[in-house]
Amino acid sequence: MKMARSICLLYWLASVTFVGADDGAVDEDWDFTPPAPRPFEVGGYLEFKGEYLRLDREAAFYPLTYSTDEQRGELRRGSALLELKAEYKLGAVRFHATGQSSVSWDDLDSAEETRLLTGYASYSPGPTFAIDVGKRVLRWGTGYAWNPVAFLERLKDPLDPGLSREGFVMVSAGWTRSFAGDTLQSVGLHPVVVPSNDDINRDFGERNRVNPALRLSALVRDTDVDLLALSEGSRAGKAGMALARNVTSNFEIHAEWARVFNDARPLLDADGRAVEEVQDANRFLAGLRYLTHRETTVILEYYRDETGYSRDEFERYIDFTRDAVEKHDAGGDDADVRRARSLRRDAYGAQNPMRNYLYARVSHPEPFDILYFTPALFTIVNLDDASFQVVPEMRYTGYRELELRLRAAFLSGSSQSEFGVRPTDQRVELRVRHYF
Amino acid sequence: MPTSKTRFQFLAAHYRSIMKTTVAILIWLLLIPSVPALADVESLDDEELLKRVDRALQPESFEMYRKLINIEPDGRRREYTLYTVRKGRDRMLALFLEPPSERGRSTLRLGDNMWLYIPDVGRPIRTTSLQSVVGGIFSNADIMQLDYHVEYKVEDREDGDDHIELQLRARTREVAYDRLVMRVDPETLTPTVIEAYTATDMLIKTLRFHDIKDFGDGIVRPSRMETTSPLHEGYRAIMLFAEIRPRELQEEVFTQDFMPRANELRE
Repeated sequence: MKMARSICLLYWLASVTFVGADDGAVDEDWDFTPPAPRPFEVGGYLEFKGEYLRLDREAAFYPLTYSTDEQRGELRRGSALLELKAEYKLGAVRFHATGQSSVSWDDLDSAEETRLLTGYASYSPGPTFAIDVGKRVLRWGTGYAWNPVAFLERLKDPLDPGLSREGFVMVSAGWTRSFAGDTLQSVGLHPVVVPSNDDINRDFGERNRVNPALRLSALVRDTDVDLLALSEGSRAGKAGMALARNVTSNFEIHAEWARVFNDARPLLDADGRAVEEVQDANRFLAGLRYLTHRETTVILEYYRDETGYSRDEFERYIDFTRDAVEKHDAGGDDADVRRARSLRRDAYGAQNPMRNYLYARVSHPEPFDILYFTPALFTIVNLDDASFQVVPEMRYTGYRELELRLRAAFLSGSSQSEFGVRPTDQRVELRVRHYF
Repeated sequence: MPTSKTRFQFLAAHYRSIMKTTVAILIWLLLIPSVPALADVESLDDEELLKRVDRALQPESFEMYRKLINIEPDGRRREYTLYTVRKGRDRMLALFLEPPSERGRSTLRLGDNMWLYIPDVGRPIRTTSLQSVVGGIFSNADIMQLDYHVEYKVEDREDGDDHIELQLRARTREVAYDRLVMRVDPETLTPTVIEAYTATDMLIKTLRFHDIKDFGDGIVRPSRMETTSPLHEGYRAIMLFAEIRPRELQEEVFTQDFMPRANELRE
């Protein structure tokens, strides 16, 4: 661990010291020789992140996260992460792999992790057809912060939608045709199979299932239309639709809808028992992206998830958690605290566990003629309990291959609300990425 | 005294020299009609002239490499390398090859529709033509420029002694710049200067074309375009062109599904 820290520190110092700003000399020789395609390509980034968290000791989730003995008011956290992407071409077959290795530490603990995010072979005899076998990430949907039709992927973080995520092992194919007409401009068929057993995709859901799924995509009258379905298996069966369209050159709208069949959600009933409620439910998202004449980009999204908890259901869980902690602090057993932790992990502590949300993001590139600098401000509002978090962000890419991102997050809400019960009140984060 | 062998070599060399000269003269004679005489250019109607400008810049379906260089007032520069393919009037796909932070990004344009594929995001997202994907002065519209005659119509024309000036107006509101003033070299029929204006007649950008180069396949055009903007005083944006070649591509290359695999086109 000490060694990892030393390497990270040395690398960071080297990056800042030697990478620096681009060469000031302007080379007026305009010879340009394009790079030749290579059979083997490798790239990636090295990332360092430092975080400072202000903790809320009164928050309901605080005792489920940290020891109540310490009554810690703040936490410092650091991490270093290396992501490598490689591609090897052998005729019409391409091999892709993405791996991540990270070390992280905070005032309480440290951890190391190495993961293969993707690793698959792709056979493509031409642009109309491709078949992929292996571990890969499928991204379905048109939404920015949420994707109700993302049936086959791990949950996206609405605060960081571009973060790399681990894929699942699957066999997928894609067949595409284009047409000359203005009505149906192109159509694509994308069948997928995500088998799950004791050896592969163990965390996809129930094991020993085949899990076939299908996406039918089309461009119809300049509108992206996706029809999607996942058969019942490891996960609940789902069907849905995704749409996107440019209304004008600076105004885009998008929407997603999914129907979830026989969805089983953990629920704490009125008697304090953890039960499973099975229901059919809808998930829906509507959003827009608007570019003003001054180049300010506005993204607005409304998300409704009927499989989420109502305000009453969520408050009931919070009351249960507080009672469990009080009972334990008064010398009682910790069975209810363990149950509260388990319910938080599997359900109530999900990224957005309730039903109605609003996402708004405003960003403006290069204000005051500061090139490569983009400030942004975004918020996620829980419309059920009026709690929210606001995130100001500054991103600078003016140094060669280096991206600097400074962020803060401010969470606000009543003591019974989603953002009010979280153990962190405020967070400041500095992320430095060096691409190679 | 030359031997019969050396005399034969002398005659053969002489004969080859005559043949080379004859062939060169024939080629020159054949080429004459294809070099637009000023009188021919004047006889072209406005729309035809604009189409000829487009064809002089690149074939209708082609592939090419470009390097984009943003230069700041203090001399700092950022470079991007793109591979681009186009088919027909309005289908275009551009793939970022460098720098590493942008590698694998691709932009697809189908008429007024534009998508951006970022490997980390993992799927194409719709974007707007005005948005800048590389920062600096270049916008998506500059990088994904279609033929001028597709996006603009000629409103006015003035034939001068050493250049032709065309006043162009956007055909639809979707086009990034409302009005262009284009100066054309009557000999090569390529633009020398283009000024881009907003609907309120504010000058946004000036594009200057330099370094005429023979790219082969009959493509003789400027290999460097320099952009300045009164909105970014002191900043320059250079676009260098290389390996512009005609290429026939399948329609399916210009679909969202193909964007992640755009690198497969490079040979």
